[in-house]
Amino acid sequence: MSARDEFDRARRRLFTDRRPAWPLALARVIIGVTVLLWATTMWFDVTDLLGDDALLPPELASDRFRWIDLDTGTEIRAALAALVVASFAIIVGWKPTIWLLVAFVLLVAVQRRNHLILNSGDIVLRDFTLLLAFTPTGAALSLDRYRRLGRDGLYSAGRVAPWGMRLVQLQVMVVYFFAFWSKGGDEWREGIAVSTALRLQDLQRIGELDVLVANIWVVAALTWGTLLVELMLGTLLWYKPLRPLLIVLGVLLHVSIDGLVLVGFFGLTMIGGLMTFLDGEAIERSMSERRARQEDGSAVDEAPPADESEEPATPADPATASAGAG
Amino acid sequence: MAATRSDDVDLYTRLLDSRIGRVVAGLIIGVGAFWILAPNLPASAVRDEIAGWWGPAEDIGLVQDWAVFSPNPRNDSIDVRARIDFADGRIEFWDVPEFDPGVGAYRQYRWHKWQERIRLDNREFYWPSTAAWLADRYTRDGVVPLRVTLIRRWIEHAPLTADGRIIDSGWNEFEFYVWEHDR
Repeated sequence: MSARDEFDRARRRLFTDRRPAWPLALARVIIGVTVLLWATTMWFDVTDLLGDDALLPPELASDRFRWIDLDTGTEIRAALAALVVASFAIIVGWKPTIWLLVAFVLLVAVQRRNHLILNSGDIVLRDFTLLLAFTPTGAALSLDRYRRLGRDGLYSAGRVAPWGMRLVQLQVMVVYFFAFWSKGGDEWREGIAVSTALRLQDLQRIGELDVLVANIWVVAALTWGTLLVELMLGTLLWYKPLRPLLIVLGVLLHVSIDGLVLVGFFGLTMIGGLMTFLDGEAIERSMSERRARQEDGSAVDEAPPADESEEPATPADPATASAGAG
Repeated sequence: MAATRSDDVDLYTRLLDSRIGRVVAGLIIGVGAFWILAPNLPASAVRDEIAGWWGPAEDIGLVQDWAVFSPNPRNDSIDVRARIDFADGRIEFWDVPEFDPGVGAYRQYRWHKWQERIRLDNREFYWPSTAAWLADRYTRDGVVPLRVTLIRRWIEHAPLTADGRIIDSGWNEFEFYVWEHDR
């Protein structure tokens, strides 16, 4: 095979060869849930953090482009209510592309009203919301598919070209790689950074656990382990054999950080992004098998018992049939 | 049976059927990848030269900034509080709200992020409005506080020692802004 052929094959595999849309659908659902939680938790602090009489007055809002100027509490609440609607549509897969774009615009508009309260999780949430809008996230596990194909549509996924998904995956890997790359300080090199990070009282979620901040072996393992996992996630996620392990490690990393540190929605959002690396073909096989088992089961339930099948036809007794199936 | 239908092809996949569609998809990938990657370049002359190229991405809201706990975690716990003095000699203190570590944690981080930023000297243009907001909250029956003092508080955390000792300072305090009622 010539180099040209090899290149074409790689290009097709990367951008055009169709594959089941399960990973995109799972990412869509998780990002939808995250947007829902983001909007509902924000709702409670509208008066103090975002309204016209908030801690940061409207005239000191971000001077960046805001899509929609939301300066009063009523406007902000309307935007948050719209975000809740958008998140439900995204979760159930009702015209998700449109609603992902709506959610992105609203997230930017609300977040830029008070930029002093944002963390990386808020930023990456809107990034994924935008990038997922360039992918066919509704091609599996969606109301749109159910309406077109009926119940069968929920047990199968449309086969989609992955070109848009590559941007989401690139964003996931860039976050991990540059999170690793930027940690060049001596505390990370010496294996003690986690002790300092977990002693920051304003970031603690459940207080301070001695073993995690004072045991040099545990602290070193966590510090260098974090660097190693971030480096692997930032470089090896596209290496298929390692992908399942890396996804598990990534989820564990986020769950443990989220349990200990006040990072907002960063973990959940990144877990959503990691879903795009799942093996769509494997999920499709698993769903087909499940569907086949269900069909076999219902066929057995509906079939008359073998010893009765040779009996002369008699009127069916629903009560008896039901008891037999039970 | 898995559901299949000849028309069960999404718009994004159909886009690749035409030459113009492939060009559009290629442009989206090219521009998108540049907007994701380039802002993360290390500080350099090259980065400065091309910084304007991802301006549109940042304007619309696609922002890149993933330096967390870097290059080291900061070495101080942070708190911002306010002391409110009244004309009759009363003194009250305001602290950011504290929420439960379960669901409340998803509100708490926003307040702590605010504290982290508002205390910085390069954010001084936010201080007068912050103090005025607090004065407004503590105004009772038309009686406005005499003075609102913003205080930054911090604990210094020394790096973990080789023998596993933790050395943290107590709380330090510094009054960084005073608002006075103009009577």
